Amino acid sequence: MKILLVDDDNALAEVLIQQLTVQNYVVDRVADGEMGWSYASTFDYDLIVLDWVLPSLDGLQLCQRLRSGGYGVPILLLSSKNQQTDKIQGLEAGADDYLVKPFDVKELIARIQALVRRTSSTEPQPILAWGNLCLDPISCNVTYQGYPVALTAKEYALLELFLRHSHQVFKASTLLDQIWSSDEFPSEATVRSHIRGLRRKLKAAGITTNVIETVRGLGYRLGTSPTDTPPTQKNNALSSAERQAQYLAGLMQTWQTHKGESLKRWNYLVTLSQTLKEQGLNEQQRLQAQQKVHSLAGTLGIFGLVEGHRLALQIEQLLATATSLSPRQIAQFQVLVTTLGHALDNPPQLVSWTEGPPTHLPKILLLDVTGAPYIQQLMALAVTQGLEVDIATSTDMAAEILGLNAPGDNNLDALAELPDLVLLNLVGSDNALDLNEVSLQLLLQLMSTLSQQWPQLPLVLITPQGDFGNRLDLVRRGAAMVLEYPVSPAEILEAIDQATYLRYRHSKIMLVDDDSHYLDKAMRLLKPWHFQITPLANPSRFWTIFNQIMPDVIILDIEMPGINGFELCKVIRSHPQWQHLPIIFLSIHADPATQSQAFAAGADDYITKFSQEDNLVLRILNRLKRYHAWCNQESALLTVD
Amino acid sequence: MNSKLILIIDDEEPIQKVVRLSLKLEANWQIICASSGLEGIDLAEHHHPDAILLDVMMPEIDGINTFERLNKNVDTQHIPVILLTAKTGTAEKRLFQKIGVTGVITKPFDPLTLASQIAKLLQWTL
Repeated sequence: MKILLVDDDNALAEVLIQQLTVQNYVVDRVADGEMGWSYASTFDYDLIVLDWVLPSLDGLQLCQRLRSGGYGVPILLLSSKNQQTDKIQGLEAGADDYLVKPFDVKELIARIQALVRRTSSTEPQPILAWGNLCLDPISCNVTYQGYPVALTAKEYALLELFLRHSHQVFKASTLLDQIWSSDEFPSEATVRSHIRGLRRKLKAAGITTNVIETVRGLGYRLGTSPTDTPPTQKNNALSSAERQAQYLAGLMQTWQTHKGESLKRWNYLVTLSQTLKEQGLNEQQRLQAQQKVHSLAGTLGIFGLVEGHRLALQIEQLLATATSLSPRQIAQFQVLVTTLGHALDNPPQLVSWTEGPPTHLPKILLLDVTGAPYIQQLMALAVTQGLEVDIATSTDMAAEILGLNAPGDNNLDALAELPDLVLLNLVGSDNALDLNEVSLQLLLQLMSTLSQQWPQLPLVLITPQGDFGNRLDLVRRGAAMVLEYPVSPAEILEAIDQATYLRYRHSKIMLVDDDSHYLDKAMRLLKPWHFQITPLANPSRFWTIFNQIMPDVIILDIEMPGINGFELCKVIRSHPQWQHLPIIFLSIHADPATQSQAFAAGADDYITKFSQEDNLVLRILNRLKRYHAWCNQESALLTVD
Repeated sequence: MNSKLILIIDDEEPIQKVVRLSLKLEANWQIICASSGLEGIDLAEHHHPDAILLDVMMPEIDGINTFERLNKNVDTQHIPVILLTAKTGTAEKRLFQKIGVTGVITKPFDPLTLASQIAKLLQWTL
């Protein structure tokens, strides 16, 4: 929003510019009426704040001159003349509002906002929305999925402009006129730089679609929102963005009216968790509770409170199991109810439920024998972030869940039942950080057994002693990551995210081997990891298939008819864009000379068939980890025009 | 297309409001609401809506029972009924199919395409 301030009082102008800038308005200021006329005739403004008493041409005359020329921009007249006749004279000259000096700047800003709202739309539309990205022009807050997005004043102004004019293509020069004041002397490069900054921040907030599109040769415009439906003939009266904005505004209003009912249901669940702990539930109580939490889940879902909806469904699921819950389930119930309480504080949002639920919730086994409060906090945060957390309160319980009591049973089906990560707490409590010796030894023993039986399963430890010696001991026992206490729940979850390989599920793997029996075997071996595998027995079709699927990892045999693996590897590496693509050789040849030849051709790794296959998954995951890190860096660099 | 009259039967007032908001904004349909099965049957008899959106889980008489009563009533049996439900298990789906509802929309629904989903089920053109 751009404002022209015409006032010769330097002190007042300074204060007004400062306050209006804080509110994300762009202000041009001139000190006399003639300059005001020149600026208003030359540049586009959303509003003019005009003092009555001015040199050369007074505010009243300027107002009349502008209106007589058909100038429609709202004008707010400032004056120390406080008689009713003065006000009438000002309004008759064409001013839309009149404010008597001295005034409270807050009142001026409120009146400016009211004037802008009145003229920008026939109906109040307080929230500008683009999918789950919301901009509130009243509070100047920008949020995505309910979480704040910090923008600079210029980025905010750009975003607001695009959201208000969702179908308009803006040239860089137009953006300069609209967003920058005349005395800032910016160039079009400045516009590009701010657009880049805005895109980067929106992407960092989690928006994967490009909010601001570049229209080659023309400028910039608002991209297509992820929740936009394909254009049809229906309801042409409202654009999709307008519908979204109106829907969201209505949703917020309805939520404010009815939030109390959801809070009442939540209070009922709080009481219920106490009853559960003390005496359990009879069948009637269970059914009643299930129905109430079901309705709560439905309501929260309708309001787009995704987290609350999901938590309520989990509570419903727990209640559906049985009238008497185990101590572990009761603890889980309490954590879910507590977390749900926090989730009710989130604002409603527009959710396109047809996009479907997340494909996989990471499943964590938390082994904690202490019941320390920070572990409870960690649980709550983990559940909030969508992790499925199972708690084992003893090593026996953990061994049972992990199938360690039946050591021979490490087949692929058992592997599929495993959690995605085991988190082990070796910290006692705030009073005595070290665990007692017996508990510690049991936990360390369990670690060793676990890493022997399931070497692929990431094991994250929280320990009171993170010095080199202790760390080495823990790593030797199979720890993938060691966190030294004190560590915040958020840091632990970050470590879990790094240590799990979940993000690499559905990675595309191209497996090239002319031995179809071996291809079958490798496919079986890789199946539990949910990769998207493309087997290829005929290397002559390699390049066609390669370009179709664009794999994340290539696994090559060496000896194949027509073209051998080394040649395929060299062909890939001959393309500059595929220098970082992981290539792993999987061959029957174990001799160093062949291996050297593979590395010379551009291989990243070499695995010998039949003897090193146990490592195949780990080596693929290692390569994927590094490749993804590189890709992420590259894509960050590419977030420019 | 001509504006349609839709009857929403749901005991949750906020859900009535949000459904009303969605359908108004997307298709500008006229909406009437009932908070129970009995009230819904009464409104259906008197207003003959073009379609009924019916919540399944309601106290007193539930959505299935309400549907059966609507279906036996000569004044309302011709009105297409779409169930709004969070229950989408195989057994429920089989039950809904068996009793003969026109369609099922799963809650939570996509608010910006709810009218399109209804129109698709009823073969209406938006």
